[in-house]
Amino acid sequence: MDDVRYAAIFLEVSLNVERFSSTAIAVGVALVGLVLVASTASTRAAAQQGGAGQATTTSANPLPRTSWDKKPDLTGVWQGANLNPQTYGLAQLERLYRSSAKAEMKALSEKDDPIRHCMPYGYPRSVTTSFPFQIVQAVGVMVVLNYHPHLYRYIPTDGRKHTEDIFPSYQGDSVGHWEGETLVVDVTALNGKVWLAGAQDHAMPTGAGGWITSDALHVVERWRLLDADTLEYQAVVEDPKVLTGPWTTPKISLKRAPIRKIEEGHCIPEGLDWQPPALK
Amino acid sequence: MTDRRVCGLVLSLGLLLAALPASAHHSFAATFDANKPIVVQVVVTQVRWENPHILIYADAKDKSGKVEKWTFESFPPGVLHRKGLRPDRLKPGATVTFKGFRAKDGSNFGHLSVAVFPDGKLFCVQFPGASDAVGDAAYDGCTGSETGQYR
Amino acid sequence: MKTSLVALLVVGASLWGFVFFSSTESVPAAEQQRGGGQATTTPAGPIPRTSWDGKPDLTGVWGPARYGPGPNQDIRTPSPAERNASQAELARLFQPWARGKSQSLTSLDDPRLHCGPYGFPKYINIPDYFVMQIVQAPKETLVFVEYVYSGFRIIPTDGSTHPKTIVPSFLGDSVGHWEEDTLVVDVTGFNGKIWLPGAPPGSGGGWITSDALHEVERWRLLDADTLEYQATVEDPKVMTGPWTTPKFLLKRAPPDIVPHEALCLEPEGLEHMKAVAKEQTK
Repeated sequence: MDDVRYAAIFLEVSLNVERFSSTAIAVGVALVGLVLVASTASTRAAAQQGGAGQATTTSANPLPRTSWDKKPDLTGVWQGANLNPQTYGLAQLERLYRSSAKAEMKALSEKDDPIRHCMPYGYPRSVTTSFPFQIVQAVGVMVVLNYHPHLYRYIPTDGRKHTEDIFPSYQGDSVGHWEGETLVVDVTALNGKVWLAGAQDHAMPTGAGGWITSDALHVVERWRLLDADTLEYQAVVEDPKVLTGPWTTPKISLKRAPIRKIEEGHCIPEGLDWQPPALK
Repeated sequence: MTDRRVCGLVLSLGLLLAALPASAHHSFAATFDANKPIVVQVVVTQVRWENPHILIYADAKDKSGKVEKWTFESFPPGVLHRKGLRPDRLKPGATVTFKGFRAKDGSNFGHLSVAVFPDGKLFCVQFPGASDAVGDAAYDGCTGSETGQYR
Repeated sequence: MKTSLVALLVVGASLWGFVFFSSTESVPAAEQQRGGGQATTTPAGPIPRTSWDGKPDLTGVWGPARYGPGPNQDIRTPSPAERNASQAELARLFQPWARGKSQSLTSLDDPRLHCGPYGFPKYINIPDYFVMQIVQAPKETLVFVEYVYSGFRIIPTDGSTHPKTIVPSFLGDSVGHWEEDTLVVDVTGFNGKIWLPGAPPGSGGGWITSDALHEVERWRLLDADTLEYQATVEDPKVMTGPWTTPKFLLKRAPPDIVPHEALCLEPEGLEHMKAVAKEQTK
């Protein structure tokens, strides 16, 4: 408010001096404008720091923010977390599988894993691999770009509802909204074919098989920038047809990768091997 | 010059299946017969919303009341969804009339061109090029301008 | 005194306007999907611009522009005669051996049968029933294709250059920069497997390319609902000189038209096709 009072005083002084040239008046107005803009900007800046659930940052390492809504900007290439069954919390997930689902799990092995047939890893599994992935945040949307398989995931971030009457798919229907500094993404309309982890990823000696899901799978993700180079991901997974209760992943820490953009991974389903016609 | 869109199974007849790799996105002409238009009233039993082709399993009753099992193939789920053919309508238990073209081998396997529901709602899923071979019989209610548009 | 006050307020108002001019709303990507697109039967609005650099905002879902006066049509789109002339020129530019090779191809050779995306510029002639989507962000512009799967191109616009080492791909490695209101994209690092638009006369295949393919694309908005694309293509291994495509047009799709998950071939799909093939070969 102090800034505005100074501007008002300046204006009052200008108005009282008839002999001021039009140039001086224009300069005066310009200064007033700049002062008012600056005060508005600092007011906005102060407001956003007060949001709930904000990351603790130091002024030496501030979060990058998008220019249009001042939300944390997750844009960049991120290194997959490369988790093992322990760091992925799979022991807890294993205990949640219904006995009816366990039989089906055990009948499946690595060769049945959809990712071996060029199908998506799905979420949360996607961030646990060693592959980098890329995020581009744009107005009202966050796009997640995958290297292998070469697929994109489109996440509206404007708080809209799920697409009506959408068919089930591997990546499902994602809608996001901001809760303070955290992007919360809700995923539904999944087709029940994606696995939560690999057949070889079992924390317990008695564990075995594919981490199946059903078309009742529902995932709620939380994406949060801890600092400019660290992205924290956590998901709650529920699937009443195969799990007895919800599974919360550990907080998964993803580091920024030092590459500009990911490459185009090309996956050819088994049985479609092909050599291009030889040139000359 | 516009590209001929191909969407059917490609295999040279007479070659052993094992010796030849299968292909995605096949051509209409290799599997279906544009001279075998069909109109079948069915009750849907299963819908597989899969890429690259949606598959619809359905039961039709022949003249004697015996149930005939049919399979219809169509475009990828995303295309059908944009045309308005969505899970709320295309679902197990739905009564619908399918118009399309029968497989070359005469089996109960068809390429879906038009879906007509009891409430009169029509979905034109035309396959460009196929309509040239037959008259309007298979395409009543579809103006032809649907061809080439995303819906 | 009063005159000075009025002058002050007028200048002040215009300054306010200037200061906040940069917040002209572009059509947000999400808005396009909800209701931001315009019908093409009414005159298109002004070109939307991004709030961060004032460049034309190519964000949106785009479909083919057929020739004509109706929705999703445009009389500015290349006519059949223009397309034929362009194809004839392309044929002339092909080295004889490459022309012959292209002529001998059939639809069985189509890379899409083996999960290869159409690539560019071919995808600009969007396959019937499919769409293309663009999402423009401050440091890169993304282009999404839907055929044969939900693939993407990343076009950095932050001054990045091509990497020293490029792994060859179907969609190539792109770098973009703005020349006034045109996005100019340099594409290299192709894998030699994509086809150029069209096909030799009478053949069911396409025009081959090599890993020496290099393209310069020009993307610009003619109006809020019309996107123009033109590319200059050179490939010293198969062509004798550069070929420039016609100025292809795309129209902004109605707001409820969005791309959906497309995968080349699900495992069940492969099983189904094998089963069908087995029946066919009995």
